[in-house]
Amino acid sequence: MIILIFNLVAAILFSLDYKKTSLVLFIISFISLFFMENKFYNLMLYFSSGLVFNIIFVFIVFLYNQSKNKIC
Amino acid sequence: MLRKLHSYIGIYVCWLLFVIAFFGSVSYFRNEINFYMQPTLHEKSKFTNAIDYNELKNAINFAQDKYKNYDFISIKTPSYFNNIYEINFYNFNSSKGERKTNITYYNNEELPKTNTLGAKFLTSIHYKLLPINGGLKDVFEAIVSIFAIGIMFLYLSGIFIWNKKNFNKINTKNELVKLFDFHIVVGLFIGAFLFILAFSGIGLNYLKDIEKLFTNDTNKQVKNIKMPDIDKDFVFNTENIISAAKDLNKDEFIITLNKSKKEFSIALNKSKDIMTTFNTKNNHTYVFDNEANLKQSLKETKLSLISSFYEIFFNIHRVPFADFKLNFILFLCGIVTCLFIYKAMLLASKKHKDKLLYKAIAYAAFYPCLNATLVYFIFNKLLQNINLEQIAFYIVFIVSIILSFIFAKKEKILYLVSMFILFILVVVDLVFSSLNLVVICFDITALIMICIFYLNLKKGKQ
Repeated sequence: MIILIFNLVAAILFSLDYKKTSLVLFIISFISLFFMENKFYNLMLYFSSGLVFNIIFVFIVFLYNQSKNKIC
Repeated sequence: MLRKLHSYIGIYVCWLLFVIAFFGSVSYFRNEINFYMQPTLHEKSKFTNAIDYNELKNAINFAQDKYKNYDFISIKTPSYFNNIYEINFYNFNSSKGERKTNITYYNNEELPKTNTLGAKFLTSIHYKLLPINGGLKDVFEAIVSIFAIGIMFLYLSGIFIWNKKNFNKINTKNELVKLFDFHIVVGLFIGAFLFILAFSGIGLNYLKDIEKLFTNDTNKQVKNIKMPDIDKDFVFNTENIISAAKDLNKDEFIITLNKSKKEFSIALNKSKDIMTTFNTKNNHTYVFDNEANLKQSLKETKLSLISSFYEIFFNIHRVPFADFKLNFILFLCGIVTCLFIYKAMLLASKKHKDKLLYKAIAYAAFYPCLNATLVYFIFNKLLQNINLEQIAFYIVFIVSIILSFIFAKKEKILYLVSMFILFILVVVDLVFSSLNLVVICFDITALIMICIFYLNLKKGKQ
């Protein structure tokens, strides 16, 4: 669950252009893996959630920008 | 040069890549699909969280009584979405097919089965294109592997030709820029996911064969296995089994009664503790004698180098240990992958001055996969005939490909066809299935898809 929360926050920051902060969060999340049980499971969770959250939030920001442009 | 190669290889492999990715994504929910395609079970199914040991006791007693002539009986506890026990029974000399198909469902009474291949049919399309066995299966597996190499090439070439600037923004300037940015952002992330899956998929197909090349151990092939003397009338003490299961205190497991050795085992089928180190495989099977004395607990097996890689690839690709959370995230990755491949084909069309052929290829990948799967579900509910549902799948798949080429210019007709099939599925579910967690989730997904199609239809009109 910690991994998911870290990745979620990192992905939101990534989509808002705070690339370095999000990278730090992704690294912290990765390091926390080594202190957990079921490493293989958590590694799968880390990579898949990291990839998909980034895409989802970039897409949400894109939709927001698109709707803003239309209103303007 | 690399740019052209990326573009042309991409265009010509995308159709099959989409089919492989679509059915691969679907197979993350193979257990749920199997249950969804058993409408005869839905009425007796209810959502439970904790295991009921009284019901487990009834299931073991029923299995021992009904299948007393079988050497092995296994009882699988209910999944998170239902309260139904799965009983599997087979003999020492039963064929692989019999071992897989001798299944009964039980919930304080024997429940009728629906005659279907379920998710197995859809999954087989993912790795061998057609549900066939024998020599042709190897050929189709080889084709899928070649396309997997294609994915790896596309990702690596994509990285090389990428300008390394923009990777977290999709510009809203015009349709071409939108598609191009989407291709870069999504491709960068989901390409890594695809690359890993393609690599592990090839490993799964061929690592065992490679290992055979390097090992000359013929002693392993045991010929003429002697049938042990089995006491068919032997009955296990159910109380002992229940107390052993209670001591383990787990939610999901499989109890296997072995009459030949007069022992029973409890396997934790969803254990997340798979590999502690690179070359160690954890076997979460606890073996007990008839008196419930523990004979073997968690077993660590040392693996050879190739076996270690095979085990890693198997766990990455098949995720047998995944719970709902991981399956759902991987499924989302799969859906994004499908969207990425579809949009990549539309980008190719846009780049080539709206070339209709590329657009038609994109439609001929997406709509047949979706429509045929939906019709497969509908026929399963309506007719409950294993052959007819597969024939319906193929017919709709081919018809949808033809429609995609005919109506490449009028996409709204393709939207309407898919919306109609989705609507029929929801209606059929309401009529033929009792509402339970899995059916409701499937129907909500169908309704969301109808909404997406409807919004696209409205957008098209504007």
